[in-house]
Amino acid sequence: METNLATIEKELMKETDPVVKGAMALVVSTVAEKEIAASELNLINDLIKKVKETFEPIKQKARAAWQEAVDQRRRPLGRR
Amino acid sequence: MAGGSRSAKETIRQKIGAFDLEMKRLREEEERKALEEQQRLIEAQIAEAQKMIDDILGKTADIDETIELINMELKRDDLTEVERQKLETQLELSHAIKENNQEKVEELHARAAEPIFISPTLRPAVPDTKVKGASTRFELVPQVVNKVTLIKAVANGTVPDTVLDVNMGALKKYVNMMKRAIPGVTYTEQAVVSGRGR
Repeated sequence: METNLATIEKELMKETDPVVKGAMALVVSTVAEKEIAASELNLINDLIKKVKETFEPIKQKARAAWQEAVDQRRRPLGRR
Repeated sequence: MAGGSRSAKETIRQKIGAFDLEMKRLREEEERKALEEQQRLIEAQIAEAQKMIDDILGKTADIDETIELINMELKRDDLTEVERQKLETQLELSHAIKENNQEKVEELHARAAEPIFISPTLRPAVPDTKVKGASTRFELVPQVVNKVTLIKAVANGTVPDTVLDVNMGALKKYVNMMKRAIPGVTYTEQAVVSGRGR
């Protein structure tokens, strides 16, 4: 699982890193530069969506396991 | 990981926002200057029109002759909108004097004293900065510089009380320290029991 996560993270970083670096270096002082910034913004939005979609099933699986542990602990302890 | 993307997104939004805000400021500045310039021109035209009227009135004391001279001036093609308005008012005034209509004379004198309205013709010098894929709206960010003044405004109803929040933690601390009634506040008493934690 850990190796898988590390691989996924590495792959995503390869995609996001140059975009993030490019975004940080952007200068917006003309309408043309604003157009470039707007398209960068949309690109980043797509990347954020991709990252979320990649991790969502992993998160759900981990959360279900956590919930199961919490429920099992709650049975002998009782609800607070 | 997405933190990098998120902060990049925020950085770009800030850069676009700063640019749009600066462009808005420049546009407003240009508009203000253009309006001032237009106002200056109108005032010059009013002075010119008044001079034209004074010249006519100086030429003759006869009301019929005055009306004729004004009508002649009104036929000119090179009159500005301001000059035309001024001359037309003067013409109406001369007719009212001729008809000995005192009420209308007074009304026209009052109208002549009013500022002349010419709709502004603004040519924006700063271009529109709208681009596809990013929209910007401008909002005001409040900062409380005098809390008591704001509270007074809420008290007299000029500002809704929804803008104020009571700091319940500070209020609880205060009532427990002072142990006395506070206007607008009621309270119940509860027992707080402590035991050794494990």
